[in-house]
Amino acid sequence: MFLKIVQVAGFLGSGKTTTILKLTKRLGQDGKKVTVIVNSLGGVPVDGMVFRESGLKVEEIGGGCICCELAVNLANTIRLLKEVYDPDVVLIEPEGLAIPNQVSVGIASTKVEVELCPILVLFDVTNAEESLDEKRLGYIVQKQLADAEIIAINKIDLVNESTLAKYEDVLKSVNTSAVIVRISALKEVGLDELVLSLRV
Amino acid sequence: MKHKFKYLSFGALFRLFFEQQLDTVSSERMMTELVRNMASDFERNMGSGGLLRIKAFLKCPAGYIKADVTGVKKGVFVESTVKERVKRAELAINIVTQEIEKEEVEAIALRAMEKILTPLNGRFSPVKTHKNAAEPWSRVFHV
Repeated sequence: MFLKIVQVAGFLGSGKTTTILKLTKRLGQDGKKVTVIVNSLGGVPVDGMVFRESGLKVEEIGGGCICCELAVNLANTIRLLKEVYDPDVVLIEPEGLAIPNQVSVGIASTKVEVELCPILVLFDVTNAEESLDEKRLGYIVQKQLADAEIIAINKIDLVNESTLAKYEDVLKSVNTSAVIVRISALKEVGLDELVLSLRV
Repeated sequence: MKHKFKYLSFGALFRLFFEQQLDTVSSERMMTELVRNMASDFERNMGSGGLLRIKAFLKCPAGYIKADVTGVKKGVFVESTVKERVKRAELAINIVTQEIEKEEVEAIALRAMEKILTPLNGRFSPVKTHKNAAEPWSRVFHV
């Protein structure tokens, strides 16, 4: 059976680490062996420490971005994980400025036979206006969203229905083909639908 | 493929020691204040529209405390598994930012450490993360 690879992308602070922690818990309950690859720009991989504290098997790729200069490291790390742990699923957390399609190119270049699950991009609805503002960093967020096959609107427990509906419409205009789900990773809301959409 | 803009990432690891043990409330508050203090200082240096992400992770013998902030307007998010008093710990800090020099980032982080730890009778010393590193900080540029 092919190794399933799930990319959990999204801008800084969108909730990638929390979502991965909750997803691994869900998948573990289903009897699946899950490992994590976490990418951070800096030399001190804080997220890797969090995953390790939670008892997860994690490989860190630090000191750069896996969507560009460290794409080869990503491919090699997937192969290493397959050889050492033989997991059913690998969850990948790119750093928050990575471009998802570029990460997928790196994944596809691995020597391991893999099944790429739909690209998941998280969107922090509590920071929606600022993160979509093109005068600031909106073009990165919009590029990430445009690459998504699933957009998970995260932190839905912190906003009202009209805000959710408003930004759901905005996201549909940014990416017309992506499946949009609503989640609160922290509160574990909407994760069943997310897991179904990811086909893991 | 290269990113279109330049940003910096800094990471550092410190050993902490407290003369008097910190209780769980105080240690969580320390992490919150540390990250909040850094974020405020960054805001003064770079304005409120820039990119800022700070993650701090305190590894104690029994558990951890993670504190992080995105941007400068949002609050600090704290998660703790620590249920015992803290005397020694390791603190990892990761900062992603823009439009600011490396020396300023270091100064902001160290100033916050001094300000928050001193009233708690806490001391800190940097840990080199790489064998040959001349300094604890690491950085990455993307253009």
